Amino acid sequence: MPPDWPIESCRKRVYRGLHGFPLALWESGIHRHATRMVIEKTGGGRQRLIENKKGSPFSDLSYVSTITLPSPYIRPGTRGSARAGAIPRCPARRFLLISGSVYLAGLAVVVAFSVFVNCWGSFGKTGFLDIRQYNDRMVKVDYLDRLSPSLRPEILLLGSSNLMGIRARDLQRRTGKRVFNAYMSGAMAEDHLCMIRHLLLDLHHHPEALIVGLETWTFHPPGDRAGIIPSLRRPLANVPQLVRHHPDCWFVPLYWSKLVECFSPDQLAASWRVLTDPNVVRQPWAPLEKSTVLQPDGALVPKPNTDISFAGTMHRLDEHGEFDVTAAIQETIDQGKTDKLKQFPQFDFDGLWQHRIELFEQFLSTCESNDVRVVLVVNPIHPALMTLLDSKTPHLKNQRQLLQLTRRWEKKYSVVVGTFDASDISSFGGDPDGFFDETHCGTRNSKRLLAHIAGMLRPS
Amino acid sequence: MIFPSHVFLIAFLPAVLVGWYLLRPVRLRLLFLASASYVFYAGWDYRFAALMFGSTLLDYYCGWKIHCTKTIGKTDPPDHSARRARRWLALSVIANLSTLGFFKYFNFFATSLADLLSTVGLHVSPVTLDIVLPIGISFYTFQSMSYTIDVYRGNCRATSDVVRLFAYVSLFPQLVAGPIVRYTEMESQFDKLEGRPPVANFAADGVWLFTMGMVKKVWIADTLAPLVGLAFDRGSPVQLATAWVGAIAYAFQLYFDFSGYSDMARGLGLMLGFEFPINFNSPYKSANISEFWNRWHITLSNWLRDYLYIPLGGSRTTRLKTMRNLTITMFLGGLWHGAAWHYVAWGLFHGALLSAHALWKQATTLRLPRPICVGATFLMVVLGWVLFRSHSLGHAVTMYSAMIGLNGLEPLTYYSHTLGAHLPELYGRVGGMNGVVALLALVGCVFVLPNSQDAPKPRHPLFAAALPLVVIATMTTFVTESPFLYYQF
Repeated sequence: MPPDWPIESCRKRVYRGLHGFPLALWESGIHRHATRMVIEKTGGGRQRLIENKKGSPFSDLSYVSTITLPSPYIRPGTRGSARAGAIPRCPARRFLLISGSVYLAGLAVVVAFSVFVNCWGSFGKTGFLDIRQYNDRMVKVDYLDRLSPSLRPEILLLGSSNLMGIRARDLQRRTGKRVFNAYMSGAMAEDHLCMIRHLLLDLHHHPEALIVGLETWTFHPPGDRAGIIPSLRRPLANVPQLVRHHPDCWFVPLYWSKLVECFSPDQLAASWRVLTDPNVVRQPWAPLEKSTVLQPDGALVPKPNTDISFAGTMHRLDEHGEFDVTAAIQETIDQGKTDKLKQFPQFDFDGLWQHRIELFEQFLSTCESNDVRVVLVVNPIHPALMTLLDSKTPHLKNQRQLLQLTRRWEKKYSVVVGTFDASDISSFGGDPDGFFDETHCGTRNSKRLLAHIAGMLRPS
Repeated sequence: MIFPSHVFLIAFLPAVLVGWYLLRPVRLRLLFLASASYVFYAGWDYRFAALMFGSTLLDYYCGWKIHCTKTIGKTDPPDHSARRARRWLALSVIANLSTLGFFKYFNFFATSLADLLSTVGLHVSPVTLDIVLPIGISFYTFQSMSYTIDVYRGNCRATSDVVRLFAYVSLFPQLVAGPIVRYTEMESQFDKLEGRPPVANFAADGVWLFTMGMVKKVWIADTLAPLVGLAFDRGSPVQLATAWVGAIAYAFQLYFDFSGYSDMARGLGLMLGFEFPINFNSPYKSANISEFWNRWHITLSNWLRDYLYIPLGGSRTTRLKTMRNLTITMFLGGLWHGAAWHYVAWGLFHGALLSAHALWKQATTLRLPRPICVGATFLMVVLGWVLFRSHSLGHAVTMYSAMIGLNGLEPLTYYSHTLGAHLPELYGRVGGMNGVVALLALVGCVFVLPNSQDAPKPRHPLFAAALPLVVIATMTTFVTESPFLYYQF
């Protein structure tokens, strides 16, 4: 053994300490040297040095020695039984190869599963399963796109599900104009902006007037579950005709958010349910004309709904179509179940989000430049819930901020005809028992509300 | 960007690993690593990346000037060159501490001063700034500062290569929450990058550690968060059982969160071929508080020991001065964790415990059985965590009151439900299991199982296939991005 060959000393250090071996190898220079050697397994856990490559600091040595080294730290031999493309014999390298491959394959499988099921239609028409869950934006945009220009509505109702009970048909009778209720569940400022841009830019359709239902939710700040684009929620992201008009959505973040969505527990659970639940209708949602959920004028079919749930409601009609919302809310208050307020996250936040206010101002500017009249309506909620929210959340403060904004917009934009504050149901002669649930007007209240709004639409 | 996030796991990490192993020239690799780390950091706020850049550049310059003063200025009188070197060191330390003080402590000191003045009858409204605390500033400032101090002390060579210092300070696995690595520890590893092939065994260990860390963080620590919140974040005062369950759950949440982070950081380091110092070594197995601090956040303890405790005189002095040194060190350690009085109180609490332990060691040779010592130490640590987790000192007092039963007991049915496996409002939240059983299982994990470093990491192909699937499974449970608890420090 040449004097400068530190194998023996190294071998003693090999078995000492945590990670002692590789450090010992580097310290002694053997590691670097070992990478330039060809080492072959000789059985019995022993390795044989069979070649010193050129460039090795020990290349001038002419001996061949048998050394004992733990195999993970040795490059696999290139001679003997080694074959091109074979899995490396070094367990650590094989481990990494398998790990890396499985990781990439696993990511691909999850993405492929989401694309294959496409339960929310995020990927457009893929041609695979395309079992899309209900999205009223998709159905309504599709309907408007298919309408011939002469039949397109002259007045549209825009807003969240709080307007779902308003019959556009009734307003049509009162005004003599074609009216469509284009409410979108959970609609926020960006939904209104995307819808008007779609009508004006894609369909080249100039509606005469818009009735826009507003609530504090319209300007809700992004929550903890906000995605890559804070001002973009899933139902809008899944409607390509609308989302392309969202000013915050350019190609990269939009598609990145769709990719990330593939891994979301919500989407995976929904996809799995769609695949395995026999009750799920395995076909795309019917067009508006054949819909069992929406009426031809865009309003919701007034029936106890079991297949659609509205976020932020605790109580709803029972199977007999009966519901005493006042008593239900009072019971909640009496029992001191303030935690129940967590089921109304749409009201429990501090201050309207400036970015959504700006998006709504962009919407008003678009209307202004295209001479589309706008009637703003502050949506009603059940008075008992209002009392509860007032005592437990900053809702009233947000509501005041909203009313201040509407006053400012009336002054700033000439197309804003006026604001009807319906938050207090007495303003339109509403009935506490005329609600569908705590936040949605039933048929009776919707009719009374409509009567007041129609008066504001007279030609100026 | 945080480790348990989609962007990190799907895009950033694979891209960095591919780039790192494809590039060959060492300088280019380090430049790539530093750039990737800045991208990682800028994910929060790009302006703060500029702050880190400036801080590193200043420390590079100061370190180099100290080196020059010591080598070129050898002909000068020794006092002269030492004075100049001290000036450069002072510049570095003052700049770093000023940055930290401004961003982290300005509002705290301003409001504390106003409160103090109001107690003597002078009512002033404090001048506070609307500034956001740059994430990880406490960690990278300490790390960057240790470089100039070590150069000044002669513990390490000043580097002439600015890329190395940028790579060292910004290295993304340990950037925002440690381990606090010394330049000497990284310098030797940078040196060995030349011609070094990927170390498969390191990387395989890294995959194991990263996966274990991910499971600890996402499946254990984050699941405990609501349980902790029920005790600490309720508007109304809590009662006995809720307070204790909340305090113990927080002890476990912090343990699994920080240990998970440390495992992930070390794992990522190993994937890149770097070995970071161990930061977390089963701290709840400690039999005394001194041992606890040798096992919990080891790199911070070492930093405080080397750059604060020993310069103050350490333990090689009178008993009284030793206690003073311990108290000052822990006071500053507490303040380092956060700009609030309850953090200071937590630091002082541990300072007092360390002093008491030092006195006990000197006063008696009595040795209690280890399980009793471990239990007592754990109890003290849990009591300390109440201070740490509370929103204010007043809130901590309320929690302590609840823990000794001054706020009353929950109704009997509450206990029967708890013991009977069903109380959805509190205990049913731990992964759908009975909460008490889950907490007991965690006790088993913490006190019995070996820590991640010592745990076996077999190379069987089955594990190689299972680990990435576990990582993907954790990815599919992210509802929100949940930062590590230590990110706030």
